[in-house]
Amino acid sequence: MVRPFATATVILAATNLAGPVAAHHGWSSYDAATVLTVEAPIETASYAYPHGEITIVSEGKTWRCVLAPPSRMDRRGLAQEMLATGTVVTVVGYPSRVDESEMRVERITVDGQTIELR
Amino acid sequence: MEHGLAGDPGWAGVLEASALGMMMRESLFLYPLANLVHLLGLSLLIAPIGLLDLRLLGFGRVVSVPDASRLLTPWTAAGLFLLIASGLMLFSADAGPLVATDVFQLKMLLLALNLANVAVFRFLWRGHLQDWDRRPPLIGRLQAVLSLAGWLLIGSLGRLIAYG
Repeated sequence: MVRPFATATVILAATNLAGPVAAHHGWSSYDAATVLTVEAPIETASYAYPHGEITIVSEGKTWRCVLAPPSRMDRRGLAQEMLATGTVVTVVGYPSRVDESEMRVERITVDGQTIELR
Repeated sequence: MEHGLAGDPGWAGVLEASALGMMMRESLFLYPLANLVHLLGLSLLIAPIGLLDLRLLGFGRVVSVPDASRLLTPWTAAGLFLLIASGLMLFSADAGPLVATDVFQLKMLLLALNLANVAVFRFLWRGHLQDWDRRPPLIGRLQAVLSLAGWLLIGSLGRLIAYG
């Protein structure tokens, strides 16, 4: 699992930008048929309700990665300190159908530990 | 925070950036707690007001309309209080994006209409509940149908906000 720093692997089947307007939270507004895997250092992190969020930059593209509610992340062992700026993470998630810079994270790997967020 | 509205934050942005909004986002237990209170408030509102509406429509005549109103209205008011208090707390955590959501806007519009319905009902019929069964007013019964449908719809829209 050792990969060069800030290397990004993006598996993109298709990009579907059409979708409901003003969709924001639920899984339905993300394209589950397109699985993205991105590895990059954390630029910004928020450990806040209604859901946590990190931004990462990979191949010049900034991703806003929607995580889970803090209570769930805490319970599953993803503490706030683990999402420090500069920490390299691997996220597996689905792109938003509404906002092309947003993805919903299914699982995240930090410090060799993989945490399911759904 | 990162997904707040760009430019002028507006009143929702101000609320989101307030100490309340910050606290609701950052405390590990407040947001889930407010969610629970919101659900409790919904149960407390919808069950009594639904039963009162059904009584106004002629069901459950073992209890008189004035008695049903006296028994059920305070519980509904308590439910409404819990809903508004916890709703404001939940709203403050994510106010900016929420006000721009169609489901949320529709929910607030229906809430205003239903509260107006309550006010009009009390204004028109408060003194006429004794002889409701002898001469049930058509407008009053229509108001009961609207109330029943409206609160169920508002509750459903509220749940849909999380899946929008």
